[in-house]
Amino acid sequence: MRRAIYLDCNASHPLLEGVRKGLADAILQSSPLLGNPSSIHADGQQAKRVFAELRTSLGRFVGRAENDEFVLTSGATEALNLAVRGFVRSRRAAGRSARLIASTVEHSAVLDTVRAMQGEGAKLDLIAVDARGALDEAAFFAALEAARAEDDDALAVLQVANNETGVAFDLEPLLARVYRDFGPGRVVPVANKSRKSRFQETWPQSVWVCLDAAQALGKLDDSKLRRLTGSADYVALCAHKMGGPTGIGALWARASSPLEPLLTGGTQERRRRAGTPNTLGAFGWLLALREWASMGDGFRRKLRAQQRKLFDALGKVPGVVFHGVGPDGAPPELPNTLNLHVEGCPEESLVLALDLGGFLVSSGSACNSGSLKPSHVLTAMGYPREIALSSLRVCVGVETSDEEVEAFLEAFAAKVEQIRAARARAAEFLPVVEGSP
Amino acid sequence: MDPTKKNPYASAAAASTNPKQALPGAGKKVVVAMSGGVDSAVSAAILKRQGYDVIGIALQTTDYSKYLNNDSGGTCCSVKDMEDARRVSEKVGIPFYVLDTERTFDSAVVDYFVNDYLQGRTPNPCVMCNTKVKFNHLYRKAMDLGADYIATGHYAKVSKEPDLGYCLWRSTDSNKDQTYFLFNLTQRQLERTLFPVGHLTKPEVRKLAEEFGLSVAEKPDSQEICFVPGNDYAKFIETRTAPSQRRPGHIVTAHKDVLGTHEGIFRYTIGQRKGLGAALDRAKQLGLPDAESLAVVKIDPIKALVVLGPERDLDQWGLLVTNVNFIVAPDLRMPRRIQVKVRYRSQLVEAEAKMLGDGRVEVRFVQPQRAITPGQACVFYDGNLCLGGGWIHETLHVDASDRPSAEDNIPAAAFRT
Repeated sequence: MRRAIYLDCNASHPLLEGVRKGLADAILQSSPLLGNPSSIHADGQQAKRVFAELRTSLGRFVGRAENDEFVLTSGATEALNLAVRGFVRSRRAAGRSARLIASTVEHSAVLDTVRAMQGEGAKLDLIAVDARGALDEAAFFAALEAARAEDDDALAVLQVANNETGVAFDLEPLLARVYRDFGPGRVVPVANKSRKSRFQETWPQSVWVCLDAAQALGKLDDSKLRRLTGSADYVALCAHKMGGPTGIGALWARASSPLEPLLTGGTQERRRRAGTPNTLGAFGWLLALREWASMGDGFRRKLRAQQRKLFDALGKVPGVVFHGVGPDGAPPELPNTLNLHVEGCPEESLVLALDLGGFLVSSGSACNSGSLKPSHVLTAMGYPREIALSSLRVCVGVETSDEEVEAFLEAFAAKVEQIRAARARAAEFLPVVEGSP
Repeated sequence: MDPTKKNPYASAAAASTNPKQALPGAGKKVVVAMSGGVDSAVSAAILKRQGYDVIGIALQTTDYSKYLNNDSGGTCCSVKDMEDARRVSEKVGIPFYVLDTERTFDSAVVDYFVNDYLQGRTPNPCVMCNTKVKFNHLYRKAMDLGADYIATGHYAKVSKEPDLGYCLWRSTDSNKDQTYFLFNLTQRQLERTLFPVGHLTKPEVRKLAEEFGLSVAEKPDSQEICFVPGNDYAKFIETRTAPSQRRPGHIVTAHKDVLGTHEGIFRYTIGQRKGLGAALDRAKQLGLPDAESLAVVKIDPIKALVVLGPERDLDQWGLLVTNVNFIVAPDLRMPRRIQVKVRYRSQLVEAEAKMLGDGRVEVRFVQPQRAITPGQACVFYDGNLCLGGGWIHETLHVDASDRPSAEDNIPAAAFRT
């Protein structure tokens, strides 16, 4: 019996080998590492060390040593909510008008939240993307100009890499320009963190940047990520997109970044996020980060090679159209992701046929009942509803084997042929008589 | 790769290709429409037991997230129903998918429903849903997935007869027979269709559901129209139309006595007696005969008139059927004796049918029928065989001399083969 082949690693990356083993051992031995870090006794102290090490590890990935700047959350969704809602609330408390700026291809964790905040009085600018999925930078800076003209405090929320298409905005020059033109509040890391000096350095900042790096962490080159996050005020992260467990994420927020807790009820996370922390998740994430820290370059090379192989081979299947292809004709920046549709294979049939054959890929986004809705990302890129609905995303993972990629390619071509043949005959099954007169 | 992750469908495939058991479904793949109800659940379980490679599919017709915070709206295809269907699929051990058919449903069923009411007709959205949404979608999806058949939990039977081709038969449980909703199926479609509960009675189906351990065994049947919250048609139509489409008008008698006004003909249906209070009072004031027992006997969409009359005016001797589909084609060049059903909840009645040159069919009843409702389907039968059907366009005035009598020696339906 063949195992299902999992090519949906952007939804959730399977736990890395080291994570599986490490967690299993810790659970089976009832390790004190999984205790409550708030406890004062020896076990609590051990658990606390896991959290300290996790923060230090995360700090290396996003280029920040100040590990108390991480607020651990239940995932990137909570981290983004914390940033956006906290920002708006703090601006309100400061008697300032809040303005939110986000691209139309952000994750719904961002889009739904900024819309909710708009409902509560925040201004909102949604910035369009082009057919490739690249940000309309003119519109983005126009929104910042408007914020300046209207004396708003603005928070720009931008993803580092898109979860559906794998497209990365060209953020480095963009953030440099934000810093240059909309300074002077840009924060410089300071050694002396006395309240007074910090206050002087940051005032009067009026533009903040929140990066959604959930999908980029690990998969995108560390040094690139560090350069980006160095000029951001908030960064949202999570564990399960990089082979850690679900249920844990973090918001990195500069000490100067406005932040109001969403949850109260304890002193955890320096009162920024109450609730007993997820020790199992923290330990698992730490293990995943360790694996990426030592093997990351190899992982990324391997993902990129398989992406290229899929890109070349799928490109030869009649009717296949890739989304988010770079101007140089290269596959998307995120090294494990391809997004495509097949002409002549409408609706969700191809995803279903592949699933029935034991190949797990994803398509669009699921609604409450589990039916598929057209992808808002592809819709924002200008694709019609039919294509946004019939598109599929193929994402390899660290442990995806070349044999699995081969098997997928074979099944893909066969299913495409089956559906195209079926569609050619579909008219036979239409009712002969039209409905009510 | 996680070693605990196995192909969840591998065992189903293995069971169906076991050569030792010559099961009827061995090596055949079938897509079952799962509504969340007991009939489709048992259908899936029966097919699975018969060795088919079964795929469960639910069609989501309305975006119920709109209703999540209050009532889920209808009685079919709600989020709860989808979850029931999912649980049944897990229990039976088949893959299950929910497909979004909201757009098709909206234009093919909801718009039609609203328009029909605005035109003074009484639509039958369930027939329309079967014809234009459910079966269409299932056949297409089945072909895409390489399936040999589709199956539903309808109470009906299919067989292949040497002379007639594929035949649709009334179900064994004549109380539950649902061929009325299926008259639009074609030979090509029936060839690929299974109705696993058609030879069972409802109590038998419930008992089987219990034996299969299905959670929906006790679930009540759906009764209302699934997309109309609270079954309040008038309110639903108001939310889907502009005020200009909801023309007020007069309530009159056949003799042009004005009895009052109304807020739109869509609020009335043929045979209706409720909600006529003020008009009845007026009729009594005018001293009209039969003022006590007036009912809606006609709706005139052009003049926006609701016509009241005595109940005997509801009796009709004939009707005209348009957009006719024949599953097996009887020779109706000359009048033939058949049975017809003019609404889902009525008995088969004896009638004579004759096809007109333009493909419409004239139906004359042996006994007068009460409250014939344009917009409903008229389905033709020869005994238990469903011949096909169409939509009731209008009632037909039939002179007493032209009425078929019970003794008439008109031949029963013969078939063009």
